Amino acid sequence: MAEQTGHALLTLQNSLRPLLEADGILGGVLCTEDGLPLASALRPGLDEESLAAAGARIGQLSRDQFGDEDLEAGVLDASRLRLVVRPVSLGYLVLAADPAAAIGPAVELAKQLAAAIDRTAVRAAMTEAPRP
Amino acid sequence: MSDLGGDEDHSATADEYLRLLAREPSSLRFAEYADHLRRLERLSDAMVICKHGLVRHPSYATGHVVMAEIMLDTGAPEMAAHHLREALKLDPSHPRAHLLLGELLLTQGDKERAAAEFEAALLASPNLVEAQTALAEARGALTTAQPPAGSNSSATGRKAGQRPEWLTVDRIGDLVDLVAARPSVNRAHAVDADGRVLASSTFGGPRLSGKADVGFVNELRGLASRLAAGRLQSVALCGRQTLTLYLPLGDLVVVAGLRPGADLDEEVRDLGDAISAGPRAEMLRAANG
Repeated sequence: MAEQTGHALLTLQNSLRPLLEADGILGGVLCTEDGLPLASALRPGLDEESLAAAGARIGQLSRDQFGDEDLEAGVLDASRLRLVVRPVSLGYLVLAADPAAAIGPAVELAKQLAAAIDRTAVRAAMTEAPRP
Repeated sequence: MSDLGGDEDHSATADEYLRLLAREPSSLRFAEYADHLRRLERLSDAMVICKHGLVRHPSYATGHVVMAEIMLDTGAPEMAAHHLREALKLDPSHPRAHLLLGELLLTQGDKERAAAEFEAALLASPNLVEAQTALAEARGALTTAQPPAGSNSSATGRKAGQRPEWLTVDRIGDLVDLVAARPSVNRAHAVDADGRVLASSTFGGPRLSGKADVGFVNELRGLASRLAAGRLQSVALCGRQTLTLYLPLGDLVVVAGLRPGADLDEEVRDLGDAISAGPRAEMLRAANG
């Protein structure tokens, strides 16, 4: 079981790697709803734990603020960093981007990545489920 | 200013303040009235009212803080520093006095003492977002890169967290109208630091939750500061059918609901410009006939 979980996390980690090649994207963290980092791919200088904690809080606040409708993404735009937070089945996907990077493509990238992460999570859950 | 007293109504008109002061000449609310005039850019009147008040109440710390702000607005930083020090002698934990003194020291390049003042402000008022941001910048905790052009650093301008001077109470409605007039926007409103909806394009429509809006933005401001991400410029919440933009403007938050399919990049850029330079330019044009 532990080996399977480890494999799933490795798969998630690998799914974040392409972020580092995307234009204007500084990296990403996948975290639980409590802000516990599960996987990340970040450029040097960015702290995984801080981003995970902040991302989870942004996600929670955004959901509270947004009300009943499903939140697709919350975007925090600050003068030195832009964060895109997307709810996923495991918690939140947090993308860190350069403030000069376009927001629309970053939101779209988060959407695609979130779908891939959810697929991986479902596969892992099915593998780990006890067989009858 | 939030520290003038617990029950003041900043939307009150100058006449209301004058009537109050006539009824209660010994009232401490002279400071509130002077601050009101200062925000209206009636600096000479503000100074006269505040001086009179301080003659009667020389040990009222907030009165000295307001006087310091008037002095800063009139370009007299030395007098401002004098009044801030006076305020801190009277009330050593006055958060706004520490904050303003810190900003003043920072403009003089004294980062160390500025940071100590911001720390003192936070000790007295841990949720003072302006002090959190200013402290982070004073400590050099932020990245060393130059802020992008157009960014308004709280450490370099004392107006951070304060409404721009041109944006007087009577112009907030114009600002909201300007935002709501954009084809991509279907509703807009402006909320002050206390969560009061000061203007809305949908008055009479659904009830607006100003306190939730301002609480949401303030918490994200704090998060941005703790992350060393710099000054919060906007927040966007994207749903399947709706897109909502929150744009901080000094102590105000302008909230715009966008039509489905709106281009987020374009809106963040154009609305940001519209609420900063746009209305100001338009209002100046209007003022000049």
